[in-house]
Order: sequence, then C-alpha cells, then structure tokens
Amino acid sequence: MRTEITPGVNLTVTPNKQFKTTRIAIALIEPLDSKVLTKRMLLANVLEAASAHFPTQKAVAEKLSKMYGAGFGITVERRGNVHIMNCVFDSVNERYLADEENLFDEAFAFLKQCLFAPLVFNDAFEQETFERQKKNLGFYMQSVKDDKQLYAALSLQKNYFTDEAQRVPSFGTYEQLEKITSKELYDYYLECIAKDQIEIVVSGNVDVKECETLARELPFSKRNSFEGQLFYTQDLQMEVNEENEHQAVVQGKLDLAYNLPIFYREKGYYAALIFNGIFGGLPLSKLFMNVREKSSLAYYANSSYDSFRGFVSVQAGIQPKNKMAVQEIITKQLEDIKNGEILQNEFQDTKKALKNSFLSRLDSPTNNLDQALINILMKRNVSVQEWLQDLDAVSLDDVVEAAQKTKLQSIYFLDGEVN
Amino acid sequence: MEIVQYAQFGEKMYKEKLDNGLEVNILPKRGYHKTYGILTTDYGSLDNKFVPLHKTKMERVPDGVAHFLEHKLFEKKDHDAFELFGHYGADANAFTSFTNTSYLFSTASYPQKNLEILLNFVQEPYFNAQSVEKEKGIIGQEIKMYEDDIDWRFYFGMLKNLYPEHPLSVDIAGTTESISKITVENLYDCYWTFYHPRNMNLFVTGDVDPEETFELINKNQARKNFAPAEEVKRAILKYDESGQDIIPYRMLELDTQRAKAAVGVKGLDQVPAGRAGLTYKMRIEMLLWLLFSDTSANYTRLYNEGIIDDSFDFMFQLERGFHYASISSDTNDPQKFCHDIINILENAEQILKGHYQQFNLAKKELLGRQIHIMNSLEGIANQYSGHLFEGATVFDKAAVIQQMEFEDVLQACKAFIRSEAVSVYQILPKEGI
Repeated sequence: MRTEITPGVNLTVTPNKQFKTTRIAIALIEPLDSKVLTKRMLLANVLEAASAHFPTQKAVAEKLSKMYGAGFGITVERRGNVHIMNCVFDSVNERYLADEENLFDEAFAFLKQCLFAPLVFNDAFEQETFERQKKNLGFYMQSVKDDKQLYAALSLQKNYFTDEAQRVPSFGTYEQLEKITSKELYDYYLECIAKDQIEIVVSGNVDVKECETLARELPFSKRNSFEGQLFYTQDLQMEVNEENEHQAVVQGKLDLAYNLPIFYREKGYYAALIFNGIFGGLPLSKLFMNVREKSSLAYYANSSYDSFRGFVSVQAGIQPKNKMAVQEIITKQLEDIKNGEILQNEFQDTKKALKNSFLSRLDSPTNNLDQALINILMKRNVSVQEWLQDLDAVSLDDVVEAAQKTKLQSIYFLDGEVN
Repeated sequence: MEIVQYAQFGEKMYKEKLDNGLEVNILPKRGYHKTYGILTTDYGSLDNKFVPLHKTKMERVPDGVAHFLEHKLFEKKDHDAFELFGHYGADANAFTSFTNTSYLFSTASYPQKNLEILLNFVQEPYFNAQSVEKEKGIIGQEIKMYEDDIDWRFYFGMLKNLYPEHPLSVDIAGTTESISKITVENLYDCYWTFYHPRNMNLFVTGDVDPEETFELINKNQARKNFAPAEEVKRAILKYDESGQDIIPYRMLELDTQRAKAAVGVKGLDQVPAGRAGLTYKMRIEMLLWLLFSDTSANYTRLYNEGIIDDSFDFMFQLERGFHYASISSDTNDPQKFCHDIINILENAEQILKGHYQQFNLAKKELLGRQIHIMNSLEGIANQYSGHLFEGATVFDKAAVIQQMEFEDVLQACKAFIRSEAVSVYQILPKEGI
C-alpha cells in the first residue's frame, strides 16, 4: 500500500510475519545524469560514514551494535534511465530479544539524523571525513582493475553503450572524483534532499499507522516525481565493435554484448526471460551445456539480461587459444534458438526454473524491498498469480521471436598475451 | 524423533539418527515459499590419505579428489542429476571445503520429489573413465579462474605460511597437475570410504511437514543397502604445536593496483571437543571483534591514519583439525599495517581488560547478527555444524553468545594468541608499473 506523505514523497508498507527483522529503505530517485554519477556515489559514502549526532565512524558503529547488530548502508544503483540512492536500515524485531527495546522508532530516528543532519562545517562536509571517503572511493575504483571478471564486464559496457551515463561504471569515474570538493558535494546534497523523488519502503512485522506517523516526522518538502522514460534504448549499430586487451591474466575473459529491445513487463518480456534462460541465464542453459559440459572449454559461460536497458551480455573464462572456438559455439547457440531448435523439455524446464527463482526471491527481505521499489517505478504491482500466468502463457514461437531480436554489438576479450 | 525447542526464536527442530547412521534434521518454516535441503559428508580436501573401505593400507590420493568427486557425482549412467532437479523445478548446487562436501537443492515446487533426487544421486555413484577425463578440462578452467582471483591467492598465501607441508596449503580443487592423475578408482575409493550414511547428515528446512518428510526419508533409506559401518581411518595430519614450522613472512609481487597485507595467528592450542568447541569458537570471534571491529579504538586509529580502508577484515576459521585467525586489508603501508596489528595482538590481554563495556555491546551485536541469519533458509541450514560441534545450530550459537562471560574471553585470548603463532603475508604491486 502506497501513501503520499507530501507530493513527491511516498510511503509503501508491506507488512509480513515471515521474517525476524524489519527493513526500512529511503530511496532518493532522479533521472540518470553522467555528470553527477560520481558525486552520488561519494555522497552515499560520506552520509553513511558520519552525521552530526554520530560524528565518527566509531559512533555510528557503536549505535548499530547497541541496536543489536543493525545493518545500515547507502547504496547506489542505475536502473534504466534513473539513478537510485538507497538508504537501508535493517534491524531485529524486538520480540526476539529479552530486553524491552524499541528498535523500530530508533531506526527511523537514525535515518532521519543521517539524512537531515549530516556532519557539516561552514556549508561544506566536514573536511576530514570527506577527504577520507574520497580517497577510499578512489582506491576502490583503482582496485576494480584487479578483479578481472568485473573489469572485463565494465569494459564491455563501455564499448557497447553509446550514452555516456550508461557507459561509465555505476560508481563513477576517477576523473570526476578528483575534482569534487566538500563544498560542492554539500551543495549537491542540498539539491538532492530538496529535489529527488523520495520513496520510503518498510517491510516486516509492523503496524501501518505507526509507519505513517514515523514517516511524517521526516522533514521532506514537496517535490516532483520522476516522470521520464524509465527504459534506456539505443539504436542498433551497423558494425560489431571488437576489442582485445592484454593484461597479466592466466585465463582469458571473453565478453559479448547484444542489443535486445524488449523491456521490463512490456510486450515479449516473459518470452525474453525464457530466451535468456535457455541461452545462458540458467544453470541448464545452452551455453552451460555446450561450452562447458560438452566441450570442456570453460568453467563458467553464461548470459544475463538487463530488461531496463535492453541489453544481453555473455561472459566466459577460457584459454586464449580457444577464443574462436568458444565464440563459434556461442554464436551457434543463439542461431539455434533463433531457428527454433529448442527441445520441449528444455523449454518447460526453463519455465520451471524461472518460476522457482521468482518464488524463491519472495523468501528474501532484500529482494522483497527491491521489488517493491521497482513496482513503484513501474507504477504497477504484478501479483504472484499474474506473474506465473504470464510466464506460463509464453509459447515457443514467442521465445524464437525474442531471440530473433537479439543482435550482437560488441566483443571484448581480455587475455594474457603480450604484444 | 526428538524435538528441540528454541522458544526464544519461536522455532522447533525435529531430529533423528536413522538405523543406517544418517543424521536427519528438519526445521519447518511456515510462510516460506521454498524448501532447502542439504546433504553433507564429513569429508573434504584435507582427507587425502586414508585407509579405503575394505582395504588395509593407508593410501594417498591426488590433491583435489574430493572436489572432483563432487563434480562427477551429478553424472549418472543414463541421466544427469542436475538436469533432473531442473526438471522438477529445483535449483541444485554443491560445494567442497577443507573438511566437508555438501550437495543441496532449493525448490518452490515438488519438495518431496527433489529430496528423493538428492538422496538418490548422492547415494548411487556412477563414475566412468571417459567422463572423468572430460571433467579435467572444466576443473582446469576453474583452477585458472582462481589463479586470476587475487583475493583467493591472498587467502591461500596466508594458509601456506601457517600450514606449510600440510594439505591446507593446497587449493581445494587441487592443481592442474594433480587432477590429471585422478582415476575412476580414486573416486570410488573415496566415495565408499566417506559417503557412508554414518559419515553424513541431512538438513531440510522450509515449508515442510516434519512427519511426512521423515517418512519419505525413512522409506528411501530402507530401500538401500549399505556396507556395515566402519570407522573411517584418516591419516593423522602433522600438527606442530610449537609453531616452529610456521613461515613468519612471505610476500608476492604481482601486477596489481594496491598492496594487500595480512597478519595470521595459527591456533596452537587444543580446541575442546563437541559443543565446547563451539563455545571456544564464539569466544575467539568475540575476542577479535573487541580488538578489531569498527567500534574499537584500534580500528578508528588505523582508519583515520589511512593505514586501512573499508576492505579491512578479520576472520576466524575453525574446522576439523585446524583453527587460525587472519587480519587483513588493502593498504598503502603494508609494513606499518603488519607492525601495528602485531602490536595489538601482543598487547591483546591488556587492551581487553579495559573493554568490559564494549563486551556488552558486542554481545548485542553478535546476537543480532545470528538473528539476521535466521531469516534465510540457506543461512539456517548452512550454519548447522554437523559432527564438528555435535549438531549445533544457529539458534544454539545465539544461546552461546547470550551466556558468554567477559572472563571467558580473557581466557580464550590467553590460550589462542601466542607470539610464536604469528605470520605475515603480503601481496605488493610490482615496481615500475
């Protein structure tokens, strides 16, 4: 149930007795903009590290310990054309504790302090905290180069997307980071807190009225909601772009990008889910069976589908000398699906697997919250029944149709060969 | 059937040891959509020397057999168990650690059917030479993937320091060379020795009825014949209690962006058997939390001085036959990091003595963390200790934390932290890059 607290600020409560914890999320949503991506990541880290009430990391950590190991974090996420900065607080339900505590009220109070009373001096974030977080974010950005699978995926993303805000990593860039000052970041914070669409989502064994009272105590002013196009689309490129990079790696990382203009819950969406499952998204996919099980060429070979960006990617860890062979197998799997070469068993088992993972996600508090937020962005809920029926209704022809829309755009290969 | 009540958390566990020795635990969770089942054998990568069932002499098998067997067990004469799970709407997986191998499924449909598939595929081995050869390519790529994983290399770097000439210093998957020597006979020898029901336990949790589930398991097991149970005879792993075999310092230069440094402490003391072992483990975890968590003065100082960042981590690992702690971070000053951490360890007792208040805070923190784990079926089932701590669960852990006294932690500190047990491992960026 979603209630407007003030224009542009809403509360959604999903009461349930399944879990032993209560989760509160305050999401700050705005249109994706490459110019502020890095600022938002740094802002998340600075706000998470300290506030006026809890001016040091130690003070924050002690508060969370006092609240029985409460989890608190601010994450950033790019979803299609929006950017979400999500402040999440996760605390134990009091009924499992021997002491009389009111952790739920405290959790709201903590989030309020963190968002509305940051650690500020002279209209800038406190210098020391700011500099430390800036430095650490810089270190993190550097260390991505040491995670070869992630590095390959990010390189593919950079080559595939044409829009700058989609090309760069969701945590921003070092070039932008270097230039940010604590004054600038504070100004940007003021802008966010005044203008971003706010969605408060609470889930757990809670009372709806109580949630509303607490949410109204958060001093958010009225603002506009995001009304733009949620999905990112880009034109098909005539030529496939290829890059082969060399680094000190033992195993080659082959990543491929495809355009698939089918979007979340739009026409063909469930067919696209099944297509991706058959192709490489599930453990029993064609990629797994053919690249790994039949030819022993890889330990991992899989695909993933981003339905907010119309994007399918494939990744495999292989011996560099097998690159062409693996690429051929991948291409053949896609061609086979396009030609309708899907066994009835394969098709039905893929549906079962998707159904299983959908229902399983309902057992995770994190996923429930993410789904609630997506429903808000989509302005529509889909019931469990509806979801299962829509998946069931997909025919083999629908899957073939989705596959036929899938077009190879980029090939990225990282290997250890020296020029 | 025994019922264990965990009143504080509103949970009930049903347990029974079957006639063939299999230990079964069922924890119903109403309101959950899925069912999770995990079948574990008390056998891992460390068990590379033993007397095979029905044989008389100790035999050494190639490194990586336990993990190889785990991969191959899914393959049957006329089908693949992985696909069969898929056919009944289940997600299946398996993993091998130093001392355990586990097979699991998770499903929102046909829990009973999938439970049978689990029991049958693990209890009916079928290995053949051709498929063993084929698997070598796949696992070879798995090993290479880990070779590119700097954190994995870092982790094993410390183990090699603390346990040189011990199977702990070898990758769980073995090496490309060792797996090339694995034969069908090796797999069967390991299988018959370690996969006897008396060496295994089954944990099922989710929306299941305990009576019905027990009935299914009992019927399934009654249909099968197992060799009479025999005590597993493992080679005794060398364990130098003086700590003299520890390599005090090693470093590796790699093409990496930042230095990583770790200080390890090898457990030279004897871990008490059974539940007392769990109590010991929780005390050491508490000790490390008091010394190094982000609520500690040490952490704050190191963080503010820029010696550590958010990658800082401390861990304690205790399994059958070994235990050690490791404190690590990405750092710009690996020497200072190690120096300071060792300094903290050397003065641990002194530091602790002023920390009674933090101890009470830590009890809350650690209890809360266990309650968070109880949300997840995987969390509940994977936390089950099996043989190691006489079947302790996540709920028992919560109880151990609540009963802990400050004095206990001081005692554990004295027993565990010894200067001769300390080692340093570093990965440094290659000069000139």
